[in-house]
Amino acid sequence: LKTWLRAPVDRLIAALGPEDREKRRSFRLHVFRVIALANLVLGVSYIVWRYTSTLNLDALWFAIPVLLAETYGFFDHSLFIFQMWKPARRVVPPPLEDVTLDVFITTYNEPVELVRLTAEAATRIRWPCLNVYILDDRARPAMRDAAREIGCGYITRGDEWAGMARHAKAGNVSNALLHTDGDFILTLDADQIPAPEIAERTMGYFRDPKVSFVQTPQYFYNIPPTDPFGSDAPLFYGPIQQGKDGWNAAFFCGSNALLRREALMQLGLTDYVQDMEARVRRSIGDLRRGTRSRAASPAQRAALAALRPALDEARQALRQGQPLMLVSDMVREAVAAAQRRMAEGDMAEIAEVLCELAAAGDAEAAEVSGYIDRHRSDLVAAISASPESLGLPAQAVDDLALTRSDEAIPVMALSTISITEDMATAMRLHSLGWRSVFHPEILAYGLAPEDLGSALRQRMRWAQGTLQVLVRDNPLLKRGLTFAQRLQYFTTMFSYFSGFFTLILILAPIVYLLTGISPVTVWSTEFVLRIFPYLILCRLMFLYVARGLATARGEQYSVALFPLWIRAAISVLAGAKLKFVVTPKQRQRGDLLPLVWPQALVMCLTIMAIAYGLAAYIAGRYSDLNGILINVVWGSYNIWMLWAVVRAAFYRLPADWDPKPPAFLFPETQEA
Amino acid sequence: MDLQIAEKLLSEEQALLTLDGPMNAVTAPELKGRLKALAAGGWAQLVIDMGGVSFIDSSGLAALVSGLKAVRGAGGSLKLAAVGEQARAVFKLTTLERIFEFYPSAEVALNG
Repeated sequence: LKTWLRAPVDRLIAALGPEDREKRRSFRLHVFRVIALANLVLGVSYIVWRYTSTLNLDALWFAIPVLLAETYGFFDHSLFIFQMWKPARRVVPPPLEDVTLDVFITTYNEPVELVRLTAEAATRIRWPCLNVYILDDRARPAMRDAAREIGCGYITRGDEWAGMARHAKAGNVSNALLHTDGDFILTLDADQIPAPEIAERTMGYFRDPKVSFVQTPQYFYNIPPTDPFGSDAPLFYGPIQQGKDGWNAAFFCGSNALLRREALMQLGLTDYVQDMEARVRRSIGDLRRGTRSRAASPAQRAALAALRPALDEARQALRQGQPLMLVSDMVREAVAAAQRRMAEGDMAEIAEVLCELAAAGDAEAAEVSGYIDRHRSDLVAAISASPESLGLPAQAVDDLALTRSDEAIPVMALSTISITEDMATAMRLHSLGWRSVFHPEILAYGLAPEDLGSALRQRMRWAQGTLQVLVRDNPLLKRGLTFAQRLQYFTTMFSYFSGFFTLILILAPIVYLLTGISPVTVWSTEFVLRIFPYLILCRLMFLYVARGLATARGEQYSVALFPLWIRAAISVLAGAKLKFVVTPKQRQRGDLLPLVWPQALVMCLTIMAIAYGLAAYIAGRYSDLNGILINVVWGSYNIWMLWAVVRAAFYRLPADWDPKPPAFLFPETQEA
Repeated sequence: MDLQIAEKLLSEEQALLTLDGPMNAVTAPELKGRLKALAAGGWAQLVIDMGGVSFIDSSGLAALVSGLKAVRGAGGSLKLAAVGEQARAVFKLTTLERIFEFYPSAEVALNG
C-alpha cells in the first residue's frame, strides 16, 4: 500500500510543487499541515458527535469506556500532529576545530569480542584529538586485557562505590566523566559500532554554544527478514525526532549521541545544589517538628524554646536565597547551642546529685561536684547533649553537612531518577536552557534483541522508565521548559498509557458480536460517514509522514503489546521499585508462548466472536447488518495487529542467520 | 535507636545489667528505673556491662550518676565493666572516674 501510495504522492508533488529542493520540502510541509488540519476538524466533529448524540445510555458500563478510549486516541493523534507541525531542518555546519573528543563505550555483561568490535571501530573515528574508553561496569580482567591490546582507555568504578548505590549506566558514565577531560563525549552502547565520520558529521552543531547534545539514529544490522520483533524504529529515529527537534526537544537516547561536557557538569552541579537545598529545607522542617516534642526536663524545654526562633530565622534566610553554606551554619550553630544548653542542665543535675552523695559521707563526691561546678562551661563544650536527648532527629543534623555521604560520587552528571536515565537527563538539560539537535543520518550500527523475551524486557524498561520520569519529574510542571517542550515529553509519556484503552477497543467488538449490546446508539450510514473519512485521513496523514519507511511492524507492536504497557503503567503508579535491566545482546531461548498468552487469548476470542456474530445474523437473531459488518472489520483489524506478536513467539531465525556489521566499518579487513 | 537492657539476677544480691545502644535522655529513664527497682528489691551488688554502649552524652551521664545515688541509698555498690573509649573520656573529663569503679570485663567485676 505504501509504495502504491508513495509513487503518486511523489509524482503529484513533483508535478505541482516547485523545482527547488528546499522549496519542495516546504511545499511538502504545507501539504502535511493541510491534511493535519482537515484531520483535526474531522476528529473534533466526530468526537463531539459521539459525546452529544450517540452515547448508548442503556449500556453505559460499555458505552463510557469505549468513548473514553476513542477520546484518548483522539488526543494521542492530536499530540502527534503537534509534534510533527514544524520539523527541524538541519544543515551541518563545518565541524568545530581544536576540541577534544572522548568516546565512552559502556558495557556491563556483553561479550568481550562484541565490545572489541565497537572499541576498534571507535579508534578509527576521524578526529584529531580522540580518546576512546571502555567503561566496564563489571571490571572484568579479560576486558581490561582487550582494552590494552586495542590501545584504548579502560575505566571501572573505584573503591568509593563499594556498598553504594551504583545507578546502572548513569552511574557508570558519571564515574567516567570524573576520570576524563575531553570537551565532548560520544556515548556508545557496547554493541553500537560507530562510522569513522561520526564526529566530523556532527561536531559542527556545537558551534552553537548552547547546544548540549547531538543525537544520531540507532540502526540495527541484525534485524531478521520481516522484523518479527518490531525492533526497527525508522519512524522514531526519523520524522518523530525531527518533529521533536523542531520544538528544540530532541530526545537523548543514551547511545550514538555526542554530549558537551560543560552541559553535563552544569547539570550535575545544579542537581547537586538543588538536592542540597532540598536537604537543608527538609532538615529545618524536621528540626522544627522536633522542637515541638514534649520536653522531659526543664533544661530540654528551655533549649528547645531557644532553638525554635533560630530555626525560623534560618528558614527565612533560605527563602531569601542566602547561600546554603550560611544557612546550614546558622542551623548547626543553633542546634549546637541547644545541645550545650541542655548539657548545662545535665551538669547541674550531676553536681547536685554529687552534693547529696557528699552529704551522705562521700568526700570524693564533694570534690568532683565542686570541680564540675567550676568547669561547667568547658565541660558542656566538650560533652554536649546529643540531638536525640533533645528530641531532635539526628539524620536532620547530619544532612546539614552539605555532602552526599550516601552517594559514591557527589556530582552525578546523568540523572538517576529513572531507569531510563537518558530521557530524564535530556529533560533536565532542556529545563536549564540548553539546546539539542537530532542529526538524521545513520552513523552507528548496533544490535537489536534477537528473541521475543529480550525485546519485551527492553520495551518494559523503556515504558517503566518513561513513566517514572512523569511521576518523579513531571514535564508539565517542570520549571524552565517551554510549553512545546513540555508537550513533547508529555506526548511520549501519554502514549505509554495506551494499553488500557487498547484493551477496551479490542474487547468492544467481541462484546458486541457475542451479546448484541452496542456502545453506540446507531451503526447508521451517518456513523459510517463520520468515522471512516476521519480514520482514512488519519491513515493518509500517517503514511504521508512516514513516506516509504517500514512502520507497519512498529504500529502492530504498539497496539499488540497492550498487556505490557498496562503492566508497566501499574507498576510505576503503584510505586514499585524498578531495576535497570541490561538488554541481552545474545539470543535467549525458552518457551515464549507464556509471554503472549493475553494476545493469543483475545485473538481467539475475536475469531470466535466474528464467527458467532455472522452465524447469528444468518440465523436471523441479529438484524443490524451495518453493526455486524463494522464490528467484523474492526475485529479483523485487531486480529491483524495482535498476530504480529503471537507470531513472534513462534518465530525461528533462519538456520544460517549470522548477521555481520557493514563491511565499510572495517577498512583493514577489506584490504586483507 | 533504643538502648537494649538485659538483666541477669545472679544471686540474692548480685545482678548484671548488659547495655547495648546509646545512652542519652531518651534512654535514661528506663536505665534509672531499672537501677532503682533492683536496689529497692535488695540487689545491692550491681554490675553494668557497658561494652555495647556506642555513645554516652551528658544526659546519659546524669542518668548514671542518679542511678549510682539510688544504689548507694539502698546500701549497695555499682561497678562499671568494659567501658568504651568515648565513655571513658567523658568520665575522665568530668573527673567522675573517681566516683565509679571500673573493671575490664563483667567477669572480673563480678568476681572482684
